Amino acid sequence: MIDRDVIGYDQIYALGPVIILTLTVLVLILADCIWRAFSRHVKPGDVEHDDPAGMGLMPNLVITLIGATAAIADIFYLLGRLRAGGGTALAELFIARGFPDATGRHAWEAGALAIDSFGLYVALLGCLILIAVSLIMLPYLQSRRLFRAELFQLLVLSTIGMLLLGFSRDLLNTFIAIELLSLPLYVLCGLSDKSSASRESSLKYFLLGAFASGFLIYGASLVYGAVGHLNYKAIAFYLSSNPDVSNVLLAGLSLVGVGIAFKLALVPFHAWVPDVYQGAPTPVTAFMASGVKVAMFAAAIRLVNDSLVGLDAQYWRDALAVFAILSMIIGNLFALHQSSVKRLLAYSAITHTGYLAVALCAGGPAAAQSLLIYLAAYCIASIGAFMLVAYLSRPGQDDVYFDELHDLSQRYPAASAALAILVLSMGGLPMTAGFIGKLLVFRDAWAAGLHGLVIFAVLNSVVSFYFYLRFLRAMYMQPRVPGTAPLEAGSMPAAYAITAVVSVVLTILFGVLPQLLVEWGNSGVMLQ
Amino acid sequence: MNTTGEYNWVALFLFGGACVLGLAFALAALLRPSNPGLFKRLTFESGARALGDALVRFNVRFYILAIVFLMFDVDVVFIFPWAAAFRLLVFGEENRLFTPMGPACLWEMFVFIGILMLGWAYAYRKGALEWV
Repeated sequence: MIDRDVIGYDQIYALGPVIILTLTVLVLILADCIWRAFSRHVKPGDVEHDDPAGMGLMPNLVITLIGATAAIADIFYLLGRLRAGGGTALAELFIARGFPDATGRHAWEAGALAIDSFGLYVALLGCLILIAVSLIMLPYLQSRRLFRAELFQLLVLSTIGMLLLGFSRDLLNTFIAIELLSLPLYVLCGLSDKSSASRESSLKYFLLGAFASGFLIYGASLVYGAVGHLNYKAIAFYLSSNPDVSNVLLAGLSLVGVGIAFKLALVPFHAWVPDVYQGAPTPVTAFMASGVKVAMFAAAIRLVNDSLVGLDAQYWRDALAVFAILSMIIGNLFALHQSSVKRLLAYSAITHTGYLAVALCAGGPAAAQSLLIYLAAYCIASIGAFMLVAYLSRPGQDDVYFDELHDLSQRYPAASAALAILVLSMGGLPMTAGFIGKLLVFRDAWAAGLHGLVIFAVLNSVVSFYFYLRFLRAMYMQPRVPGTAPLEAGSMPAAYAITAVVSVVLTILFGVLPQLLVEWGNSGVMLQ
Repeated sequence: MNTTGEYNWVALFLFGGACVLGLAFALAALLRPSNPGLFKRLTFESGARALGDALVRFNVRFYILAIVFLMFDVDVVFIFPWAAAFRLLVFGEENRLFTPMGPACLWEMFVFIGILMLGWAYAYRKGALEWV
């Protein structure tokens, strides 16, 4: 029924960022092989004896940074080409077409990967997140004396999955990209193999991730059974040409939705989030909280915009609205009284998933742009906040508790101020980037007629200020609890300082001059 | 209808196979002398004693070996269909809505094998193939 074209080599340049990052991984592996050939260290564990500063990881960090920078340069080159060409998308790869009718016209025609400016912006965010996380990884590893050579390879591989998710318009591609994104993360979560929390987080994430993948692939098979193809456009065409929705397709789409909701951490599929976020090494948590969210929401909004909008709202929008409401309530309620900062940030991530799901409910091209803006603001804040947790936490503990934060502003005024600004941006205080993201997301949902949902979301973001302000109360207003040892973080390593300054400056800059962020986001047009 | 007819051959094959095996066992049971003893009833007829059950901890080295094996396995799983469809991939075929890829198809497989071999080199360098 469907005629499929093989990739055209004249368009392969559009996958440039993905190819560059793949080459980076290969170079990293090759460099490791060569390094091992000429060095006395046979196993990574041996590095500790001769190399207490972990300088053996320096080449890997440099290669990763060069690769990510080259990918960003390529993204800008592609964006320039896209603008010069004037179209919505630079290229569509792996094009499939519906069977032609009597006049020879195809009912639908779409690529499995669409290189449009939305996808390129997601790729840009992914590469920037990769750079930030690689930078904060080195001082973290040095302070924990954890030297794992494979770490940067895994980070880059996961980023490749993020890039592909941003481009993907085909369920099979989406599935493979999600796997590519997740598999390295399962390993990265168990990075500090001496800590049982880290091992637990790795196992939990792996098991629930495997469940999610199972749901997704099972749903995809049902969709294939009903539609005969996995392309989003094929699903949309099927929906528009068949007024009676088949139950097989509905079952398939809802299973796909469950699989994606697991990865997005929408309530009731959120149970893994607190344990995984708390147990994983903090830079890896930062990577999960930012990168995975960006990529998964990009995939979700593509699915919604390309195929679900053709479906009757009662079949998907109502369910999604219920999930969004539940995410906001449960996330907020559980965050209120957490004693651990990482756990609190994990529950707040669930709440943010709820707000972002409001944008998914709205759907449409405008929602995709607001989502991009929200996610950019949220990524800046969450990478910065998790980085500060990594900096402040005791080496053996890998987490910060609220009673340790008391009196912090006296000893670490800069770090306290940065943390305060970043969490307020997460809450959505005006004059911070987080406010702009929330405003746009709620505006879109209001325009789409989801008034009740927006009112509920706004009320919830008021509630969420209770726990964001707890940071300020602990750091600025409460005296140290007698008997607790103060946090001894020492002076801030350069990589931490750079990340902190950049995230705080961007948060305030985008808050004060929102047009910078808004214009950026609004030029991220998704191919329809 | 045609496919159903073809599946009859599968049924016939299964039936024939079962008959041949059953006949062989039946003949063997008729012809062989039967004098079971204590040691002949053990799991291993060689006389080695079976110790414990199968649910023991295996050395993690087997896992690494299995992963390295899997690499070559995946290699083969992809190379066989590629080789079988090679002519079609390069030259295309009449009456198929399919754009032939030309010689690029050959180089793609080299890229694939190259990436896998790099993984193998890495595993080798890490000492995954050394039985410590």
